Amino acid sequence: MIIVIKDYQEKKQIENLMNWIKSLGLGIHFSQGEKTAVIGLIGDTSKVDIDLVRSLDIVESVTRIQEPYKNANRKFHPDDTIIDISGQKFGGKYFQVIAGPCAVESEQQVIAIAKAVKDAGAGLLRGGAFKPRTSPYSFQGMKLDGIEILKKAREETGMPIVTEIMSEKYIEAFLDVDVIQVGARNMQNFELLKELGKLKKPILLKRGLANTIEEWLMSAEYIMSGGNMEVILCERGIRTFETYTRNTLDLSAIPLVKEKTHLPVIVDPSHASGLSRLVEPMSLASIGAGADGLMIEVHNNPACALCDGPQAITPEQFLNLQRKMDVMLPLVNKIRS
Amino acid sequence: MVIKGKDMIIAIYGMGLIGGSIGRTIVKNTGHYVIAADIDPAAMLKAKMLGACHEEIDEMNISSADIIIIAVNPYQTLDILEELPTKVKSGAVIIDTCGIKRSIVSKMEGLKSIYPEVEFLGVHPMAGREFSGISHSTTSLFEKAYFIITPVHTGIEALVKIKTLFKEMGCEGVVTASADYHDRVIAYTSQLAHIVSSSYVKSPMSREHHGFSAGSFKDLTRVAKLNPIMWTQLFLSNKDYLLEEISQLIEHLSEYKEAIAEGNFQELQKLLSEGVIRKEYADKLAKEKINE
Repeated sequence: MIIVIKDYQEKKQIENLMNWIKSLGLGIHFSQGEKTAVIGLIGDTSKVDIDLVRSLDIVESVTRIQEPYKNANRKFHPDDTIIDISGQKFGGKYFQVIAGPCAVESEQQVIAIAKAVKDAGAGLLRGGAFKPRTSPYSFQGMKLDGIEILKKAREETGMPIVTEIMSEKYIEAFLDVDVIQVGARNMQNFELLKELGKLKKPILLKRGLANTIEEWLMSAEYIMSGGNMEVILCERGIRTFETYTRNTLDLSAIPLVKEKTHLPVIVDPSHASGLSRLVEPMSLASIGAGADGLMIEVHNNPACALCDGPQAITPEQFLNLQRKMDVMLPLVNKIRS
Repeated sequence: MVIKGKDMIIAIYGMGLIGGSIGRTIVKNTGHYVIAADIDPAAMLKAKMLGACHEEIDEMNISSADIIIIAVNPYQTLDILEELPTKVKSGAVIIDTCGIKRSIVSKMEGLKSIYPEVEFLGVHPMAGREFSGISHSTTSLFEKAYFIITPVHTGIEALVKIKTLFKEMGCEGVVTASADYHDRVIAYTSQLAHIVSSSYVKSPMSREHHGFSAGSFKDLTRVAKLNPIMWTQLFLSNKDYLLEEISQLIEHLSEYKEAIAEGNFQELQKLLSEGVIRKEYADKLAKEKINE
């Protein structure tokens, strides 16, 4: 249920209303926009006497919300959410690029790639320390050492770091990471999401391999209901019958999701197609679809990458792509953060 | 006096038909403690005998009242309103029960700006009888009745308190309206009806009605037995809208008069058929509203 408050100076009346709502045992999500304020109610709203609330002179309207997601719902928070990580912004009019290797392989590798992508225009550095490999015999990642290397790269370049967490038992080690990534396979690891909801740290939530938009938003809701409002969504392709591509990039999800939620949505074109030659066209298409950013895998020697080589692009290719992207950004009213 | 947890202290000014019925209903249906006042000592005596209140209002107990109900005539309501805010506690809810709202709400708005911690709410209980005085009060006057409320920057807690009390009194529901809309509609549905009834009964033929009527006379003259003082105040407090309704009625009466004087069969039948359609349409709309 949402209560739209008229542009009223009556802070005391708004406060009284919110206190009364809380006294009914309901949670509140308050969103102050430019012209109006929206009070979103979370919980069993059948206790609320809609007619009486409508009688308040500060109330513009009262509407029941059908969707199961509340905190993530744009009706609760009409304005775009903008997440700022050390000056690098996601959401609203900003376009952000995260780039880096699929896996952290060595300090020298990561720092070299970090410098290259930073010069080309990337705002954040990605790198996998804990890798969710299908085979137990594949390279599982450098784990805690990998995180230390990312931190060194951050020291050298000033770039905030993004890396994937595989289990809640590692949360302590991730407290010094700037953005914690939840991989596609963990999108419905509800215990992990609940723990991440307790932190005050941006979470990059990837869409599950075969999950609907509503399931994706409900996972965001898990994190937000714990008190952590900083969720960045990431479309990374979904499973279909097509075998030429690793996954099928669901571009239509971008404008749809932006309708339903106020959270920023970015695209991972590398995992989506699984083919490096498709990264450029899919990146440009994502901009056209209204994405708030991209996460692109860059490796200085894709042929020798320990993980997902076929989808990585070189620093040079990345630079060329950034230049093409700069031509497109003004067309969709976006600026680099 | 023993006041249990959630029970409130309710003050009622005016132990007449409405105030008396409110008091008796609250005492019967709830555990709230009722204090009351009336300028007529005889009415106060009857009030205590009929169980309409537990105690008389004084300077001490009024300051503990949670809800204050003013159930007197419109002009007296304005006088009482003026004096109340300094006597009641912060958060107390003051309501009236008058049949017109603009003048009351206007007064309440003025007082609210001076005493923001006091809650005000205009109320019009759509229940009543054509008799006055506490002797005619009942404990079921508000069964299934609707209450109209006209908020005056009223807070949600106050609104909930009042609605809960009304429900405890047996009311069917609460309707919110602006004071202006209330007065516009009531000018027709209530006030004009009383004027028509009062005019109709003045024909000398009213003396001869017995045996010559099967209900029409009774229906139309029921509310001619009104309280002249109260209704004079109500009409003059709603002058503009009431005059509009009276003018329209005079026009319609003239149409009938002309058609009959001219012996115009077509016109007369047309006027009457239009009346049937209007009545059926009004009933249909009311049914739809109930079903909503």
